[in-house]
Amino acid sequence: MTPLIDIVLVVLIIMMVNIPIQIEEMDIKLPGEKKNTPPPPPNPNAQQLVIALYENGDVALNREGMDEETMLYEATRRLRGMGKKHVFVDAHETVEYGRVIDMIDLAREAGAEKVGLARMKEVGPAPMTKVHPGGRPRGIYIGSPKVIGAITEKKADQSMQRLGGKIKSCYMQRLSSRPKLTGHMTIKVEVGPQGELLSEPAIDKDSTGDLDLRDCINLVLPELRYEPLGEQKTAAIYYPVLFSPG
Amino acid sequence: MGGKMGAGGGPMGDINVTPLIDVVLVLLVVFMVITPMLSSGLPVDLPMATTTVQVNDVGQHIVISLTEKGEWAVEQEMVEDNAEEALIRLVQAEFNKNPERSILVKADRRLPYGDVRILMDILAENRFTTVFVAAGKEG
Repeated sequence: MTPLIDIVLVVLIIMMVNIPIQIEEMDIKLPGEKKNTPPPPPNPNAQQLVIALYENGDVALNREGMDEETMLYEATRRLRGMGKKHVFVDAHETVEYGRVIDMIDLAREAGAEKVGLARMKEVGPAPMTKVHPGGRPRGIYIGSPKVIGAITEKKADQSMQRLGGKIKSCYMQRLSSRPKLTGHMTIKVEVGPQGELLSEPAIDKDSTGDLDLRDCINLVLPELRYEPLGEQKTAAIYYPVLFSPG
Repeated sequence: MGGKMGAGGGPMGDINVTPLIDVVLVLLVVFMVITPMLSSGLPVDLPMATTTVQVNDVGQHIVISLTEKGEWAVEQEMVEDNAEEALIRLVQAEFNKNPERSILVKADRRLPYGDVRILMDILAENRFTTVFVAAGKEG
């Protein structure tokens, strides 16, 4: 009888400890109060990305219609060169809320630091002015890294760019046996004070579902090198990598 | 848990553990039943996302739920007739208890976006321009 009671009590304790609930969340910005002052004249040099979500389910990036795979690539590419990585989502009021969250998710995946919701307009988002021809360059694309801690984005980026060729050849090799292989990954790296790797760099997210590609990339990743960060300083870096068969 | 009873010539026997087991089992069942139900706010069918941040809920959020039927609730309290003033009063009351708290919007994924935005716009007009949205973990 005693072992039974032991087990039951342990299970009970496990359940009581587990009770603090986990939530999964994302933060978004809302347009503030309507101001009576006219908005400042648009700055022609200011870049911004607006993802539009139309009533019929179409999506567009800066009024250019495209499919979601292309949008992820385009958003990743454009965010790379931008100082303030802000993305706005402008959706028609009748689209499903879940779709809006998908777009926020896509923007964050592409490397956006802040995602805002555009002010609601009765007619919905501005109409498309052109349609993207589709297709992305064949190969891999390393997006701007998300860094937490004592490293600049530029330095983090340089380290990964050096491995770009090897990751690409991993992909090309797999592409010869699976010509349609596509998707994206997030690679997580933790760097220590001397520029050493604190843990084995890992593939955090993977939508390609190709184990051989993962294995190949996992072999390349330990070659990542960083400059010393300084005493007691550490950093975590997340690199988005997109794969496109062209 | 068993043991000898009495030192003299009294009757020998085990401690009766049956009531203890009964109580413990009942507690266990109670926990098993309420654990899935324990979530902040009302239960809703959340949208899925991959780039979410996982946090432990220690009451740092004021949770506003929007159910599939379009009902609003602040924490566990329903907002009658989706009245704007009532919503703001409840949110403000929660906020006054602890101004460090942020807002978490838990909306059902099948709702039309417009319905969610009505609520968000009310929040924005009342200076809550940064909100968190709850999502389920995908992949």
